[in-house]
Amino acid sequence: MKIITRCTLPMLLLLVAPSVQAAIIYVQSVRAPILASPSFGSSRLVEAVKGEALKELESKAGWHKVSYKDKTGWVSRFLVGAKPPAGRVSVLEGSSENLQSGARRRASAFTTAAAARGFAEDRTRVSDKYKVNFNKVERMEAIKISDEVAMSFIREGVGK
Amino acid sequence: MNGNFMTRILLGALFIIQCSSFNAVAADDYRKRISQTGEMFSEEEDIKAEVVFGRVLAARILGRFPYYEDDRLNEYINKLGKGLAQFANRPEIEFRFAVLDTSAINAFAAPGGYIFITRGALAKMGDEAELAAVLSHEIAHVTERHIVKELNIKGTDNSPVSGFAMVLGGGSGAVRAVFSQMVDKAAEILFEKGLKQQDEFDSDRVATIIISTAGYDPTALKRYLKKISGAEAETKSLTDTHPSFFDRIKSADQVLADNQLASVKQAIVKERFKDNVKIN
Repeated sequence: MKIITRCTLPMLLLLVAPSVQAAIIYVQSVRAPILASPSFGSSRLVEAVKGEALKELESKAGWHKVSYKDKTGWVSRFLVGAKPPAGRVSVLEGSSENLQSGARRRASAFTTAAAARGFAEDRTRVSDKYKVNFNKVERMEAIKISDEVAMSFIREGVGK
Repeated sequence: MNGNFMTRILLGALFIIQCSSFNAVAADDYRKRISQTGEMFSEEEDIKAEVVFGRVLAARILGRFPYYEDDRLNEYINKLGKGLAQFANRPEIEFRFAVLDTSAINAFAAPGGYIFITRGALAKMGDEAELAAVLSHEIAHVTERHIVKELNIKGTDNSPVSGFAMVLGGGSGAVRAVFSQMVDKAAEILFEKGLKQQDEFDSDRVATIIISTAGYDPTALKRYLKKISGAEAETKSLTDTHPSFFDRIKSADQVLADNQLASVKQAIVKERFKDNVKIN
């Protein structure tokens, strides 16, 4: 039994050490370059993609020093977040792709959409200072372009 | 007995640590787990509050400036903008873009991803990288939640925007009046008072990061600011609400220098821009 205790203790210490030091951050942008130093002009060591977890070792001035795969480098705070990237949240009926599932999500999405729409109708009566035009907001919302199409468009443009 | 007890404690601790360490790196599992907690629900309500608020503010922007009736151009702006937004850190937001029919040089961002650029701003642009820079500056206002922070917009009950949660659920007339006043405040910020100067500098910085990560010329924002800095009449609404061009160009230079991006050659994309943006 003593042998087991002796073997387990070092293993425990080994596991505790990194979990105490390193926080986990997640890539929010479609891709995030891990750079040799905290500067976008520095050499690119590796690239993480959306949703991947990075071990944060330290942070300074808008940059996180991270460990990813077998590399240690820097990633901009503008590309990462403390939680895994969330699904898209919408207040419009029929387009909600949010984080919850089941009836609660549907009820919530419906109520919010109804509130947004009903509230929108009231706006013409409430605001004295500014005119409003919800028809054109709906026109904006009617333009449907998927993330994939938009990303292909960027890639075609920049030649990547 | 003691040894056995100790072993059990160690093995138990080991199991707990192993589980937490596994969960920390397994993003999908973590997401599933946290989605069942109240914490994420309230965050989602905050995001919904932001989108509803932004939508109503967008209606004020479109009440002030006409929508530019050019489907092809608006589709182009949306393809570019939605592509750029994927290089930012708010994947939960559905970004939407529209061109405003005014000769004034300006662009606006409402919380929740409603973004506008004027016909006048487009007319001064020479390539897609410049357009990407201006759209990214606006995207940054949303990702950095500048108006959301300024007005403390939340969907939860403890929001200083009294009763905002009730607005999301239908709300009474009085609650809606408070909400309306908050949206008017946001419109005042956009049209008259401007955001904090630091917010504008931050958005310039993020814009440079977004476009350079996407593969566009990192100097595009600076080039565009230089170009419009002489157009005093058309930029009055912009200069009334933003830091001076001199300070923004100086700051852009600093961002480029800090990131060793000043001489990095990336895409400008002139031809596609000229094909899609035909404004005199």
